[in-house]
Amino acid sequence: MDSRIRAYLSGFALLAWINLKHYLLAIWGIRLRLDPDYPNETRFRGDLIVDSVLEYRFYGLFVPWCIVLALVLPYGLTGILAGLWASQTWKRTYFYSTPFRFWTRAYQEAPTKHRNQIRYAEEIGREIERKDKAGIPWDDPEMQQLITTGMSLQEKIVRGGK
Amino acid sequence: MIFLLVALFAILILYSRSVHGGFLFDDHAITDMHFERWERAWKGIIYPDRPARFRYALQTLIVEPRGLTHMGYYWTWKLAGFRPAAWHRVNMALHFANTVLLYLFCRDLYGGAGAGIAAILFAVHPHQVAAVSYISGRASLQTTFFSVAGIYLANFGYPRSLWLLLPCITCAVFAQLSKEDGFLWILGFGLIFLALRFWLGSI
Repeated sequence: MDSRIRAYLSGFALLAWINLKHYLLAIWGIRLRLDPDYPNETRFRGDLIVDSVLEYRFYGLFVPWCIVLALVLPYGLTGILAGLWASQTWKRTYFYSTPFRFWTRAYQEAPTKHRNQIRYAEEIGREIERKDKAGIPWDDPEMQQLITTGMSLQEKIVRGGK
Repeated sequence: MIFLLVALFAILILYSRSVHGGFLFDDHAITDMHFERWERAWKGIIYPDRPARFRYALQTLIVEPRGLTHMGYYWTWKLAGFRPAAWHRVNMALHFANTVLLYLFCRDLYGGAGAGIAAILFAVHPHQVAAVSYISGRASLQTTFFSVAGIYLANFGYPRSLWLLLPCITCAVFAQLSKEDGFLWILGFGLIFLALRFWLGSI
């Protein structure tokens, strides 16, 4: 078989498997961190890019899913489920509260992804600037941690992300 | 009704942290949009007696990917500028609207407390955080809204008159104009809800 067709097929198979894993857990409120063996940005011939799972896809899937759950589960169990899910939702909104938190999580989940490295480094710079303007001293432990992380990330980016 | 109030309260509390979250990632494409062309398109819709403008409006809405979603962005920008809280609140309102539609559909399907519980489960589900908290996730919210509305109207209209299916078709078109997979969602929902109706013995 032509290697290009094989590349497309294996790319789609990988994408389908990652999405299947993710959504089988996501319907129960469990979030899967990106598989560490997954090549975070893989280019095949023809510029097919296998990207990570994006969580806002399949928002509508949960309409019939919640209808079915409310039908089949006893009310007590759905109450417990709603409580657990509400606490998960509360935790996850934390990562959307500032760009720094968003890109910190993105980097922690996929540290080899070039885009995540660059954006996280930018946000570290902005966070240092923001803390400096707020009058936080440079020898503050959190400030020092940010500076150290930023510098090591900068070295990593220069070395090609490894 | 009490269930819907609980769902509304839950959405307001749970998403309060991300309301002032700012523009993230793909959201910056919104801040780079040229809203003047959407203003022209809007005027083409409200003044259809000007053929050239009306053609421009149709072209912009239909040919441009996610035309209806971008029209929504235009109106949010017009009313609130680039204040992130306003953009996030529109997403929260759409999520609540979807919750209400789900409740109405379930009330027809099996009624009682079950409908309210389904609505609350949908409102608080953690997977929805990405679509609701991420401004660019509005396309998913909007397409779901029009898809579920279309199926609800079809469910409401079918026993009464076939003409009531016209709003259903309009919703299907709006769902497609909101996101590329709109028709797939309305087809998928239609099949699932037919299956549920059959299972619950209403067909």
